[in-house]
Amino acid sequence: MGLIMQNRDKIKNFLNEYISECEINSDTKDFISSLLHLKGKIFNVESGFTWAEFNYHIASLFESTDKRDSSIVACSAAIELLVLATDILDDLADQDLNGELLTWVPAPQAVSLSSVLLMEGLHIVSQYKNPQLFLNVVEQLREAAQGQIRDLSFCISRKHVPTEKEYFAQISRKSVSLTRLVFHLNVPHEELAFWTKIADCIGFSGQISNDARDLFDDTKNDLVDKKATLPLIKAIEASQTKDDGWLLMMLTTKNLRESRDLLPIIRSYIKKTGAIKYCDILSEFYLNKALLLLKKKQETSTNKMHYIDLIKFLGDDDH
Amino acid sequence: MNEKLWALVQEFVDKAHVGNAELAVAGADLDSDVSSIFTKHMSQISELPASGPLEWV
Repeated sequence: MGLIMQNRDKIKNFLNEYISECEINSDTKDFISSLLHLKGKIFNVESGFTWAEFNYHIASLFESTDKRDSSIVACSAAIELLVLATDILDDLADQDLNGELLTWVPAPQAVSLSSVLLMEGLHIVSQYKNPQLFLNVVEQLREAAQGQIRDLSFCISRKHVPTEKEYFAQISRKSVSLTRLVFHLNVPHEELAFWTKIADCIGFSGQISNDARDLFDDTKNDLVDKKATLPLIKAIEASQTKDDGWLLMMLTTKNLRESRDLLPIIRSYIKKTGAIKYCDILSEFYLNKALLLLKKKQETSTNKMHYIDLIKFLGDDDH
Repeated sequence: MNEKLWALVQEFVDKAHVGNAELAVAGADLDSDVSSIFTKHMSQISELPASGPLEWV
């Protein structure tokens, strides 16, 4: 824990200094600072997983932290800014007006903030990484942007209910690209294939878990917008065989934004189909798979302590 | 792997009481890295999705 706080403090110090010296007006600086205090962000004391620290742990596997600590800290800060930029766009696209972010940042301001965060994040990476690694980051951000566009229409409809396979392909583009981004920023080119497997497993685990949780969150719009998330896809599958498609009928004939009283009934139904259990199991399975690969790699590494730190950070209690 | 797992989850989710032995027997059809997670989750009664360790937002 002490080690985690130490890394976090270094990244926070870098961000404070960087934002204060940035050539942007003070209102924008205040907005960015407030955004970095939101749930799951680096300045929020209650945050467990943060993207900046995730990057710090990955980078530490490949770089000597003594010699290159300033680069690791700076790039970790950049990752925090880049992911925040995509979070803003995500909330705007989902119209999460009751979410933490858009309740106090007007939409036009949010678009500009996302743009600033994206550019500053990329600027920092360009200062510390070689052109190939920089391009790797751009490539994964392109993938995420393309996934974001496709996500707008990735919904349940009478004409088409996406399959589990389509769901995995979609999250691979839209959000798992961000875990790949972190690995592709840090790993040697010749090891990219191996580490991409780990990145994908971590990404799948996180996204499946989020999608299962968000269905029960009144501040999220996945359910009212009929987004084709895994729990909904599986619940519809079960409903087709057991109840003549009651769930699909509800989703395609009711306006859930106007009939919010139906949400508890639909949520309870989804839970009863086993779709949530299925997601919980798959999420844990993918995380375990990533941890197993990491532990195997650790056996032949001379950098064992950093592997242990990363494994602990990802939530393995055995270490 | 996923199809088999999904079929088993649906089979057991309706049951009011499921013994660990019964789950273990059913889970034996799954890959070993999935069956222990299956048994663990299906023996837990939970109102909400389990909080994954990777709670990014």
